[in-house]
Amino acid sequence: MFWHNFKYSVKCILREKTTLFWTLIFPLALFTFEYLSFGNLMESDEIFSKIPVAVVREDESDTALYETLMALSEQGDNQVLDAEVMDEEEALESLKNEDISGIIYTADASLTVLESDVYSSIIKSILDQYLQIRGIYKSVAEKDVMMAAEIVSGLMTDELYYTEVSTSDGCQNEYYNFFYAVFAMSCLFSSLAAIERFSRLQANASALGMRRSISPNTKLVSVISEYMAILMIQFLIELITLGYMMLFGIDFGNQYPAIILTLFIGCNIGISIGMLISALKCGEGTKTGITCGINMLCSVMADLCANGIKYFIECHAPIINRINPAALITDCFYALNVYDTYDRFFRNIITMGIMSVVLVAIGILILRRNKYASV
Amino acid sequence: MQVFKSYMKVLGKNKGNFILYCGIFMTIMIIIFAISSNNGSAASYTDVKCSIAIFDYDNSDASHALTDFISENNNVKELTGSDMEDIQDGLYIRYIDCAVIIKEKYSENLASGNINQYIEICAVEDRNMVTLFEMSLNSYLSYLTAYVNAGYDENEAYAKTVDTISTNADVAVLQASVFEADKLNIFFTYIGYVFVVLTITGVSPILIVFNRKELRDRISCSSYKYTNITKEIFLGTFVTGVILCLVFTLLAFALLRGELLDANAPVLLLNMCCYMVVSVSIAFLVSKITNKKEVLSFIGNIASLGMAFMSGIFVSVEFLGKGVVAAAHFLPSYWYARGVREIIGTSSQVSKDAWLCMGMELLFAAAIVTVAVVVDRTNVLRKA
Repeated sequence: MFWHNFKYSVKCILREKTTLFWTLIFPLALFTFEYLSFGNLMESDEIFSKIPVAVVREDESDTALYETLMALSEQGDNQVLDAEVMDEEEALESLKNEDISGIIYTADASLTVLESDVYSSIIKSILDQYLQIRGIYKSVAEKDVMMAAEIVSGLMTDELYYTEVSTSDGCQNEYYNFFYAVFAMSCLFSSLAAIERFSRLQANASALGMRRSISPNTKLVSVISEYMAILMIQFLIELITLGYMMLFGIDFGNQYPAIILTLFIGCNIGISIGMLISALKCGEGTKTGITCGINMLCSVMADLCANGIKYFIECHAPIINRINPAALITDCFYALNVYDTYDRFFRNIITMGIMSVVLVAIGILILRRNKYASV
Repeated sequence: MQVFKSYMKVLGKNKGNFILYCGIFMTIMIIIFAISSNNGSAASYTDVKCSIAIFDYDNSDASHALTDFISENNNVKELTGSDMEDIQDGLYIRYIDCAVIIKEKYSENLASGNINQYIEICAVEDRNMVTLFEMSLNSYLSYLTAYVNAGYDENEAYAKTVDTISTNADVAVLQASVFEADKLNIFFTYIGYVFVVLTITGVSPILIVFNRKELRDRISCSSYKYTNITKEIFLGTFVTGVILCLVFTLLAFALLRGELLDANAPVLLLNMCCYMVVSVSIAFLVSKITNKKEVLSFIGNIASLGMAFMSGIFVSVEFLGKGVVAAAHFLPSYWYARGVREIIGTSSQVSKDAWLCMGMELLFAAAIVTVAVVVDRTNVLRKA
């Protein structure tokens, strides 16, 4: 009877367009909108590239600064600026049109910018260094000119006085948090399919539930067959979503078995939440509303709508992140992407596994033990 | 006003669901609002400050001087812990731009100038903010080392370095822009998403009741003109929208208080009301397209999220591609978000662009209602 029930559950789920929308179409659409909005935002906004500036020269006496700016504009790995000599009028026009980030006046090493942003700060930092090194030369040259020249030549090198340490070899694009949250939301929304299917098992929820309750089928077989059918469909949907995202070039790393395990456990926890809610004594509309509310709240707290919420919660109330299934799912993806070890990943997986086992056990107990008055 | 009374009765019966959705979205707004930061560009130039976490394991005068220098020119933040995992988490979410680790024996090696292995910077490579901080830090360390190598003793070298660092270039800002992104902006911009999804998921289910065949046929048999029916139904949705506006106005006063009173509050609220008219028009149109409650939530979520992402509500419009912004001009939410920016961007008189945006929103509302009426008439004639 298990396979019989399983087969018909699968057919019913595939014909339930509402559920298919929330678990397949909606995450794909949401991901598409998010990718259009900020899929390449890190490359265009955060990653450093040469800064276009205009250089306004009043006379030829500003050789030192001019040559410094041209040296910084030389093509190569160390290129910082893209300097172009212009007259003041042309430079102001370019600045207003946002073709350049600033105007450098070589006569007094001053700067004109459109607003205070990171690019203007970088340009100012370059000018500050020029003025400061000139100041050092003047002050040391009062005592010893040779030493002053030696010091300045030492300062003009590319020597670094610190060591850069990389904390991870993985992708550090913070906007990927949104895509991880889409997966989390999609896994949790399998609870909607669970509510719909488990309501069809309960005599007090539907006429089909009444007929199934008086059949010789054991409740346990019915419940497990429904559970496995939902799990199979939802897991396939997650794999389709994963494939769709990878088509857009989203980098989840290369640990595919671990990623697939995360999605599998995520589906389990979503279905177990739905199973528990379906056992509540209220209308299907209310159950759906409660499920949507819980799922959206968990997903928002896992950075679905705005970045930084999960970290804020981690700093102030970390226990919430330890029990929020959406946060656990996104943390699994993050851990796989960023860390070489699996400690954090398995901690999250084990937590989700325990949660889903407990929720399923409670759900089965309630559903199996439900008895109804004669109808 | 029989149809209007019927609408209000149906609204009363469905108020539970409506209040539930209101509560959910207000909670989401409060959460997002709570973690949003206050950013604004000042009228005069100010250096951009990086967020830095400092771990000083040397604990000497030299390391304290370095820590003081970093603290004066950047925002120093505390992390939840000091191991690499905590630093990585802070860097990933951009809570910090860099973590500076001053290792033991930094001060002992300062005289020799070989300090690069005693100062570590953990950061996401090639970011603008990281480049800015590294330039500043390297300058300080290079000047300090240069003065030490020139024969100055430690204290003199520090004093000279501090004096050198205080030399700054003059910077003029071409145009002063007042607050671009602050809590006021964030609150009212997010309403652009919340209103559409609330009206479609909350109001449209009430409207589709009037599409039921039996009810529609009974009303058609009556002496009620189609125009009056449509007017009263739209009046009902408008009243629902006004209730929504009042609720969110109270929320705005509760969260923003003084900021709302300082800003152009009446104009902001007027813009919000114009957008409310658009939202109820969209709900009206959606109720004419479908009779199924499930399809309403599909359309509600897809439409609201799509409009929110493309119109600069979830992501600032300056970060969107040119094609996306061009397409967004055909969405009413784009004009609403632009109106909010225009109103908040001017401290005194409201700009003409703000009134233009409100006008565009009302035009969109009129167009959407017209389309809804045409769709409805077409459906009726087809069924007849």
